Amino acid sequence: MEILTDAARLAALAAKGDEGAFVTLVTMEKKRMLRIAVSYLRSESDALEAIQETVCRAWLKRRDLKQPKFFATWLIRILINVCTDELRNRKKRTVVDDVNRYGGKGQEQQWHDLAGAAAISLDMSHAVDQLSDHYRNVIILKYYEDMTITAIAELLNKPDGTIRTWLHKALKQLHSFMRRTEEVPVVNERNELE
Amino acid sequence: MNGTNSNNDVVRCLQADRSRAEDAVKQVDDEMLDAAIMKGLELGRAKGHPRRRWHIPMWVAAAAVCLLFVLVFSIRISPVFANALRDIPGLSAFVKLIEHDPGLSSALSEDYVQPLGITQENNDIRLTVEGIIVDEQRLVVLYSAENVIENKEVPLRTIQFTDEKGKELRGIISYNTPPEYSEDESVKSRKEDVIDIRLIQPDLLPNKVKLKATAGEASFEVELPIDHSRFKGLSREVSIGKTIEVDGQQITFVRAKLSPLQIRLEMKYGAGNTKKISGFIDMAIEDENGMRWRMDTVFGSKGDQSTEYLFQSSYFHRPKKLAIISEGIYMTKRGERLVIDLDSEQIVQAPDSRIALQKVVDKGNYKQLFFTLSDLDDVDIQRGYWLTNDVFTDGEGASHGLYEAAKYDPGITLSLGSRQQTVQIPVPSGELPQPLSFILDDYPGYIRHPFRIDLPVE
Repeated sequence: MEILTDAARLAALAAKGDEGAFVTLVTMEKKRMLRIAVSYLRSESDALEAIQETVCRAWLKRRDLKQPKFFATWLIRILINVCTDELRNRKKRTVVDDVNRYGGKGQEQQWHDLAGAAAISLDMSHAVDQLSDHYRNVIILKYYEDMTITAIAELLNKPDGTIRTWLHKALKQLHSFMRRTEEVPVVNERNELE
Repeated sequence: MNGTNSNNDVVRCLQADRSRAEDAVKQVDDEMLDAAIMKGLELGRAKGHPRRRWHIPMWVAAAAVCLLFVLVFSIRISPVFANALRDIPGLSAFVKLIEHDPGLSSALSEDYVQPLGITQENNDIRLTVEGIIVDEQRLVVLYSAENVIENKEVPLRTIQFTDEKGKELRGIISYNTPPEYSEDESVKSRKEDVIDIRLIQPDLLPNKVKLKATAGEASFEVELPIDHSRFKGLSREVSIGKTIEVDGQQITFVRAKLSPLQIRLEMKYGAGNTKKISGFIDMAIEDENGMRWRMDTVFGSKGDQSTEYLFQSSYFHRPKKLAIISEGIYMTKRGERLVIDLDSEQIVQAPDSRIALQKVVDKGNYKQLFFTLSDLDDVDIQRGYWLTNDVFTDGEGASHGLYEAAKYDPGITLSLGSRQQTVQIPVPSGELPQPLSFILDDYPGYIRHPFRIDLPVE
């Protein structure tokens, strides 16, 4: 018989519709959710909206949670789907101005203040944005969230080997993106890296 | 340059970008994060119930906002009917979609459906309007929409109804939760959905209605012929003309209109009332056997002197007697003010200590004021309070409107497990002389006063 940890016991309760247990579990993951959502969406307000949407979906799908011990994994998986959906929607919208795009909604926050070294980050986040969904997932989980290959594989439900391949190809794509943008000499720092 | 080096460069850039992201994370405090979680749960709870989304046009007065909090009680239709309908191809899914409204359910089981079977295909999306349930002031569209390539449902959005000349119909449109959010496996995979429009008085449905909508990338315009012969002569208006006085406030039940799909009740409030009537506790229409049909839509008028309450229809139950019942009245004292000082973020004046200014969030074009209402009791929490609706005055007496674009955002959230609500009020940005003074026209308060008013049926 499996001994349920506290979290797993809570998750079992949450799956049955216990709101208190559900909120406790979600709250335990909130910082991580925020970090991941911000890495994907580049805007605090969009990240908060994504978390809201994730909690909503998670509550509605709580009965699909087959193994309570994987609550956190399951929740993050939903979050990644929400963020990916949002990125797709953004692409559909006509984007004219990159600055606005990174500024999030309105003038709420401009953490991509386009000056000096910040531009390198902007380019990079733009490049990550351009990756296909799988590649973007592994890049964010590995380099923004410091997850191991095994943990990523578990989260995305893929073999380790696949994750390694994706990671390799994603880095390669990012590199070629950097080379392409090099022709536009906006960022001195990157030239130094060469 | 070899592969490892190039990867190192990329990784270095990623790390630089990551620190940017980390800075952004620091901008979000715990409170905002917790609020997002609670709001998500609240949305989840709402979508999990057979509750519907509402599209409320701007011209409908504020009374409509409280719709979001009207509970949709479902009185199940008889399982025999439901099973019979499940055998009819195309219609079976709709039984489930409308079961929250016993009036509509009986209309369906009584074969009061106008079959259409109009199909359009555009950008790989196929839209089929299977049929409509319609009377002179309500139109329920039963449709299915799917992406034919991916074999997947695509719910209709940006829904608009117009007459033949393209003039928009005036009314409240509601449509269902997207199937992906349903807890029910059989619903999740369905392609069927329902759109419902109820017209404002005295508008009637024209002979042809155009449904304009988008689904994914495709947009559609479908002409729906309305067969008026199906409901001609079925509606009846009965005058009631009864006035009750509760706590010094006069409420007159003017008339009711009974039609196959709805019961509409017109009320007038006394011109000398010192309180604004904002709703009724547990209001319903009851027949001689105790069967009840809930009130589920409100049309308010700007001057708030009259209101129309819409109930589910008892038509197909052929009741012998009907009565309007309620447990009491929600009301707000006129002339109460909420005065706040945004510099110190303090409340200067309020009717009581149940309201607090929780925080002020700068949204760029506007400031979002978060108020909390606490110590609400069982009756209070049955509805949401929007506090104020239109204008406020600044410290020098100049009047300003609320920030338009954010005004109709669902600004009210209910906190889990507590007797508390959060209400958001958007005020335009800019230096305004303090303090700001709002007229409170919807604040918690009620009088328990059960009443029963007969509705002449014969």
